[in-house]
Amino acid sequence: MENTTQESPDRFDESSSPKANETESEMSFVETLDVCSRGLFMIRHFLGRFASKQVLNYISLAVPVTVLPWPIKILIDHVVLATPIAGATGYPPVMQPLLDYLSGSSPPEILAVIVTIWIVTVLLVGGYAPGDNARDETEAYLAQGHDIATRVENRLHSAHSYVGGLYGYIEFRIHMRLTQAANHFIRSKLFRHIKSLPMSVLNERRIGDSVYRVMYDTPSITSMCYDIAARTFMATAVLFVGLATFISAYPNNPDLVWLAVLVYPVFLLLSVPFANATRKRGQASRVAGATTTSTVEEGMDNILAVQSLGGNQNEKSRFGTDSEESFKKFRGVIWIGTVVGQFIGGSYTIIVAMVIFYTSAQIIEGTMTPGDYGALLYYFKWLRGPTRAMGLTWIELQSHAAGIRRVFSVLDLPSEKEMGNVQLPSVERGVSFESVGLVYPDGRRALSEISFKADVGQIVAIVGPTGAGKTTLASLIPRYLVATEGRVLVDGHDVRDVSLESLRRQVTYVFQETKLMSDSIADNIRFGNPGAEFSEVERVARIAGAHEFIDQLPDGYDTKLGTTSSKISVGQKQRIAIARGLLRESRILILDEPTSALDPETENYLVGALHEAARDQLVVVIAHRLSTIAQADNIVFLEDGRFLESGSHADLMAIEDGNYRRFVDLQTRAVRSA
Amino acid sequence: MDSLLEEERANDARVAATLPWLREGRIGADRDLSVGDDEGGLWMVLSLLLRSWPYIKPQLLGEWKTFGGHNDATFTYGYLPILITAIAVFGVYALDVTPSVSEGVFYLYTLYACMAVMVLWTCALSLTTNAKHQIAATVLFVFVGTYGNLVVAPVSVPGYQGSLLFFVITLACILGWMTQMGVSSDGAHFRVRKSTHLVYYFVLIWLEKVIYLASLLVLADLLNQTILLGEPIMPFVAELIGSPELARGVADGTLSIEQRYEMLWLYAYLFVGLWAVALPFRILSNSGEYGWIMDGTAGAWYQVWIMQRINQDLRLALVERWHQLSLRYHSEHRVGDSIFRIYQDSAQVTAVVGKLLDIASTLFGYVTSAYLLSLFSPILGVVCIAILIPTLAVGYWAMPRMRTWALVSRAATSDMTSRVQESMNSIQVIKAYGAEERTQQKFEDDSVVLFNTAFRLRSLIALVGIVVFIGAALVIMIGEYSIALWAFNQEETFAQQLIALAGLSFVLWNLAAYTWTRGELEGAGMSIRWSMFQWLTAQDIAMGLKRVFDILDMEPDVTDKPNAVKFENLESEISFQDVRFFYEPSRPVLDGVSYTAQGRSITAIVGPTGSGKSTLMGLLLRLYDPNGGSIRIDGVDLRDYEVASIRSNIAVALQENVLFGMSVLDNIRFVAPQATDAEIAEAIRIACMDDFVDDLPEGLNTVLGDRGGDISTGQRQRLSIARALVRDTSIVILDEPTAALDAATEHEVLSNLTQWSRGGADARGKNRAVFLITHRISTIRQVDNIIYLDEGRILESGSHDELMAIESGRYRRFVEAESSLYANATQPGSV
Repeated sequence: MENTTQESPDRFDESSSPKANETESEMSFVETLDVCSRGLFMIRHFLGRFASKQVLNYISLAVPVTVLPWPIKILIDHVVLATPIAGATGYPPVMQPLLDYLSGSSPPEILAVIVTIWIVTVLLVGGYAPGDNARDETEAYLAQGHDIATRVENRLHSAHSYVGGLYGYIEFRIHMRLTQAANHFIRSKLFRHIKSLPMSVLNERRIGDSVYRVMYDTPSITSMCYDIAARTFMATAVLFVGLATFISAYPNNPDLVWLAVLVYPVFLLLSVPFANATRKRGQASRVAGATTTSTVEEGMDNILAVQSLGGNQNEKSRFGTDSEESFKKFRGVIWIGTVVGQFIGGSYTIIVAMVIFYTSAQIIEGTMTPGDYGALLYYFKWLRGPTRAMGLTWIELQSHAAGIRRVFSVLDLPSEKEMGNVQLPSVERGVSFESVGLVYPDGRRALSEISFKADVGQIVAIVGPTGAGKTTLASLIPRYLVATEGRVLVDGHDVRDVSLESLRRQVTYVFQETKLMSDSIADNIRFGNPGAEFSEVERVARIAGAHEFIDQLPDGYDTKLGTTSSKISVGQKQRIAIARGLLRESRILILDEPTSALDPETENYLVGALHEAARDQLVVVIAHRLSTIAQADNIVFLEDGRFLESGSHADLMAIEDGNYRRFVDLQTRAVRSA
Repeated sequence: MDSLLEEERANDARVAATLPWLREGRIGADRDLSVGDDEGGLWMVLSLLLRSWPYIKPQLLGEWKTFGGHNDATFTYGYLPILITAIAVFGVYALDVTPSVSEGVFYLYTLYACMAVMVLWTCALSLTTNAKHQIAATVLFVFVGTYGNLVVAPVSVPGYQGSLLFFVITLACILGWMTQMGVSSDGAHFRVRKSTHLVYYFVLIWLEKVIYLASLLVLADLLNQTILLGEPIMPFVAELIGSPELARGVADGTLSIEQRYEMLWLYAYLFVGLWAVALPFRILSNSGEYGWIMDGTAGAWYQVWIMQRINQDLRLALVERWHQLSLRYHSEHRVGDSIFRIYQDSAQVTAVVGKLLDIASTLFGYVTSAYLLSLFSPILGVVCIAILIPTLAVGYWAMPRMRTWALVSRAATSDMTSRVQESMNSIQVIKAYGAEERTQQKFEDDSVVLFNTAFRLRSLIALVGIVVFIGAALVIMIGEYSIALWAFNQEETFAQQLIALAGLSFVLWNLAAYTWTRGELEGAGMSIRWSMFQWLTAQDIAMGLKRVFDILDMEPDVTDKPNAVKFENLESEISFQDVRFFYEPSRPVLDGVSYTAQGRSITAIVGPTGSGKSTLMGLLLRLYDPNGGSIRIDGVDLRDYEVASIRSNIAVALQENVLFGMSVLDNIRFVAPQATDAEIAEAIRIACMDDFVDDLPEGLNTVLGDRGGDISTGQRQRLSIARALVRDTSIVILDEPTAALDAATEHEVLSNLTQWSRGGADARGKNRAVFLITHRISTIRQVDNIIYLDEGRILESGSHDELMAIESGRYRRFVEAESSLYANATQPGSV
């Protein structure tokens, strides 16, 4: 946490967008290792499940080799071929009790026992012989499409068991819950973190991109963990078993053993040159996917605008282009996969040719028998699995790395919470600005040298022409933005030092543009104060001039709103938002142009009610209407981000040549001349 | 800080332990469906799968490329029956096809019969246009073609001649599908089908398999017999390498060590050489067994390309339909659902072809096995068929569950996507109201439900697989038991003659017969298990497609009439005649509005919030159609115009200023891509945008954030006005677009607008009608006509002065309320 406590004037830099960073920049070797190891570290939350799955997996992998071959051997040797069971060889010691039990039985009796054993193994592990058709594996993959987003579903719930039956079912379910728990964990973590980012960062982010990261990038981490942790352990175990068998069976052929082991470094070396290309294509594909998501999201969320403007065809072609691009980028991923696959496959073909050549030569020379050939090749191919898994680990990492990085690059953005932790007591006095200035990261100056005080019990109006920086100034109080110069004090506490939670609990901000939740109207009004009584809800709705129309709706306060709802008008939504702000009853209330959608009578009523409320509240109003402004106790006049004057309406109007007075004259002249 | 870390740790531990180890989890009655809700069935699923045909068709049938002719020529493949007959008749002589005496002339007649059927097929296809007949003829063709090529031709004529002849005939038949001739006034032309990608793809796969199998056979023989055992070489290989003296049957004894080494080298070259020959095929059609190493990218490049094209068509169809659906639909629809349907549901279309082909070929294998097994023993045949009994029982139980649970699971993921989207969309409010924890809770609840639904669904798939395998295995046990017993007793097999014909010499039950039949039986069991798995997952595909087609099936309530005309310019007037509109009949939004707006006029619409102002304008844009009455432009009912032409010839600046995450310039050009720089400059001037555009870091080329979130509301409002004006249309709607501007700026914008709408500065004399919705009197006074709307009715209408003249008029009261506020406000200043 040390790094986040550094106080520096360029704190605003945290808003710099990570977008460019991800699409263009290279990922170094170290960075790849870094993000992957951080992903792996996440397994610590699931150690129990993970270990259980590993143990189950070793057992199920061993079953087809250790259990299933013997009943069928007994059946063929002693039933079909009817050789006597006594003195039979080639069985492992564990089978001896069974053989003892069977010795002396007639072949039909043996047959009956074997079939009984088979029924048991079929029920328990879903298999009765080692052949592929005589044993079951458990998996449940669903059909998928042809880009990253659609292929994520199967990874999100990935689960598998090498056997079927009861055992396979249990292992399958444990595995799936493991994958799911990990994915749930990382998704929740990412979602929590995105929400905690500063508004300045969130404003730069596209919603579709966040959706894409939460939904489609997060499973990369789980896949990577499983690939690396589980498969590498597994591969190592199988490799050692295989090598041991190999060496004990053919102690005189160390060359072949080395050839088999050679596959590992060869795969590793051959795949390394493709690592960069693989990773880049993965990144490009995900970025293109996120762009497509944003396009859909933006177009669908703004369907009213699109239809009104007759932009249907534009939107369709915009989406078509983006979608085609994301498909193309995904084909890029496929293409590099194919190239690597064929290249490594080709190299492997040459190694196999060498093995065949070597073995055949030995047979021609007479140092080996033709029977050895089959066995040797069998072992060689058996070893190929684990060596491949290990040799290709690095390149596999690359394909996950792109997604993992997209998750961590967001998780690494400092969240706004990490600035201070003083608990702000209930606000008693008010807010004061001390030569506050704000410069955007791109160098534009928004505010400079602003100083004024606003006390509880006052209505303070922030006034100025369009683009003067009024909203920006107000955003500094609840710390949606952080001043780059000067200090904003609430009851003497710098807002940077107090905990966000305690600050924002006491500040309510009613935004210029209304966002309602897809919930009932009552729940929307209760959004900031879930426990409020219904009578309270109704009271604030009346003040905001919303009660009348809500009451007329067929479902009244229980009317469900959609996010793009056209059931109620924009002005009505705005009133609900005002009611929502009023219900919260915080010490500081900021209304950002609340009255633009109100008719004059409602406005009169609201301003009156605010005066009532302002006795124990600080009300900050950003407004254009002189009627509202004039009723404020204190007016802060801004122009071009500079603080020019403050005082009551009468005071300011009394200043000859005053800026405010000139502004008011201009406004009224505009109105009168009309 | 430590407490924060502590909190985070506790939180992590809680989230990590949310999902149970292996139990099912809660889904919640409001999201769940009961199995009884399933409305599916075999036919419904099949028909859903087949409905994807229009999107698959272009990739299968490709398009015609015409050579040297007019498009109006009628093309047929009537030339084909003649061509095929000629090949059939003369080919027999040319290739010297004679039946082998031992097999009898029976097969030769069969061969001719097959040829005749092929000719008939071609005739039928070239003459009939009836789709059913065409399908029947095609099925017949595929059957006879396979039968003739694979069974009759190789058996009836020894050597390759018969096969070759039949292969040529089959090719000629396919030619008709690929090439057609046509005659028009200026001679003969032909056209060729191209871009039949699915066909190319399957041919590629087939070729790759042929190369692989052929090389496998040759190489295995070379290695096992010649190199390892020293036997002479296969005759045709010997001929190929130019040493016929080493051929089997020519050379006697074994090969020398040197010769065997030579063959080993040959083997090594062939091994690597064949790999290289097959490489191009593999690159296109098969990413190789190493292809899977990439993050979920298993699949061949060419296949992915084709499937993406299919998917793209469906995605576009979805987007297009959504844009056609009216706002009534969208007000209930969640955005995340659109994302989900576009990505996940529509992608299911790409799996249809593979799945159906896979099921068909697996079942074909199963039927073949059952037939072959019954040759050994009818009991085995019965056993093989009996595998179906437990399978079908399980299937009957599982399919409805699969369908409902797949729907529930899809809906849960869709909800989750919506949750993320909506939370991100309203993040500012969430922060402002300290609702982070509650939002997180809802997200996690959604996430848990999502995982629970997927868990239930996928566990079902796993369970069905396991149970079907167990059921099949138990039935197979009966077979295994019997054949082991027969083999032990060395009984005779059932149809020895027929078995011998198939090239197998199992007269008695011996080890070989035991092994062979066991393999077939197990293979049959696995086929059934695999088909079941495929059909089970096909239910999910069908449910995905259902969610897509549900949208595509929705008839847009605003559509073009068959002979709708284009609307271009306003000639005289726009009239609303007794317009009525409601969402619910009990609550009319517009209740009989009649009004006529002349060209070259500005109409202000005023009235309290929710009085129906925006809805009235929405009707003019045909965002909805009125429930009663009509709107006419130049005397023509709005419903007789093309929707697109209306929307593209009415410019709108909205109350909620929606911008897109592109550059300022592109936003202005959003609906007028062809606008010139001068027109854009003019629009910017009217909207008073110059000053803030100059302040942007890159001027007009500054790329805005999501929804233009990084410029102020006032700036966005002006930008959306510029966007409307740049289209230079004759009808303009301004729906409170200036509410966030200060009065002076607003005044400037509006005087610019007034000037512009009256043909002003550029004096192009366009007949413009402007509608203005506003609350501010400063704006209202300048207009020609004012209508005062309340509760969906026009209460007053006339010029400002006329309306002010009405004693206790609603408008007058409205104005007085506002001006009294102003008076109060300005009084101290005027002291």
